[in-house]
Amino acid sequence: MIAPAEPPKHGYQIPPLGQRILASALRLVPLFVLLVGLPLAGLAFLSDHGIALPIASVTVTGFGLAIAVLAALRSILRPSRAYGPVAIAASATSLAYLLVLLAQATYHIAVPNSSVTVTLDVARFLALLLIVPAFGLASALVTTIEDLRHPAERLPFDYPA
Amino acid sequence: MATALLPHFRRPPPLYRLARALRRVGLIVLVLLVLGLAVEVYSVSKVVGSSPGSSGFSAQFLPNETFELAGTFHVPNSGPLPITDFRLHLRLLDAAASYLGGATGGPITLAGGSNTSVPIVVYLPFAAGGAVSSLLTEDQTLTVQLWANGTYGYLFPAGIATSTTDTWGAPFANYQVATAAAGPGNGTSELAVTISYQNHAGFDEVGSLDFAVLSERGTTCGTGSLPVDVPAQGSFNEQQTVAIASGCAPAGGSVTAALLAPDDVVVPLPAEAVS
Repeated sequence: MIAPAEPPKHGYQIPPLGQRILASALRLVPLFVLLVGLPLAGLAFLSDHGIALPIASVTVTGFGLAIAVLAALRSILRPSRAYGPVAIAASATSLAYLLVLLAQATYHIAVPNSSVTVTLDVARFLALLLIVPAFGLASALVTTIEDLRHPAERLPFDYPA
Repeated sequence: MATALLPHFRRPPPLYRLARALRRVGLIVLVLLVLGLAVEVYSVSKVVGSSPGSSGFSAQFLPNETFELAGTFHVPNSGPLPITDFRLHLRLLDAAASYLGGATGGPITLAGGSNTSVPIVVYLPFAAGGAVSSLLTEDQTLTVQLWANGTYGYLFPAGIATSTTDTWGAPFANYQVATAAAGPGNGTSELAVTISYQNHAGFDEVGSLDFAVLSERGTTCGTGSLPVDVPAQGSFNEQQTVAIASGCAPAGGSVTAALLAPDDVVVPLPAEAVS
């Protein structure tokens, strides 16, 4: 015999705040490594080998931290109406970071102990990468509108019981 | 009854679906870009390990008072991705950093896994007074600036520049003209003209060295011609006695000469004062 599926009691089940904070904090660690730790280590490695890139460490740290924290905050606030604006802020920060990198997208690298200079232009790649936060921004805008017009409408689908 | 057995399912609202679709498209783009970047990095690591080279340059005179330096560069692309819009630029500077000439090879596409030959031809006009004219008679250390650029894997425009020095062997190194009055004969004066130089170039010189003795005012006092057959790294030292036209005084004048080679090649040499 096949038992009929039980309908959800409240339509959705939001994890408690403490659990969301814990999950976001755990997610913050790899984000921090990816957005701050690895880029800074890469810059330091190149600098140690006499190769200087036009990207300031403070830029990497500032934007990396901001994006990681906003992503964590977005995850914590997902059940609330603040999710959309925070997601917009996270995507906008990512866009701004990429635009800052795009403005300095041509790297002139003098190879130490030689007369060789390498020029690398990463503008095309960064321009394509802009698509990602642009779609994130659009998605966050739609979610904000949805939350304004139909509050809690998305919760049964974000947190199915 | 059949509907009661199906799991409880409700279609998400349109705005939710739109937001989700936008997020997914962004995620797909991110995954594709990360994969593309990984392929590019792998491919670049292959290219870095390969070493380009050249088959050496050959020099020759052209009829329009020009040197032609021709060579071929071999550019390997060991990676799987092509290098599009590849160009190779070469510039030559003399010891005083004066620009002598340059050339560009390409644009071409270097297919993945290929070893492409890029021909480069540099034309150096040695018009009188130009920086290039010193190449005729002076051995020099030249600065060779070389840079290449192209777009790697359609995504990353990149360039590499290097500078090196190379020695230039002059085809008329230490060119000198010495004159001495010869004894009069049959009522006319004569001038012994000695021309000497070393051929430090990598090619042979064949033809004739036609010269003229000019007065201070530029009037031609006399002319002569010496056969030339000087192999690369060989020397030339020949003398000829020239009859000086009556009323023409070579003192304070000069001797001009030019190599007349096959294929209508004319190489004018610097004027030397009559000693």
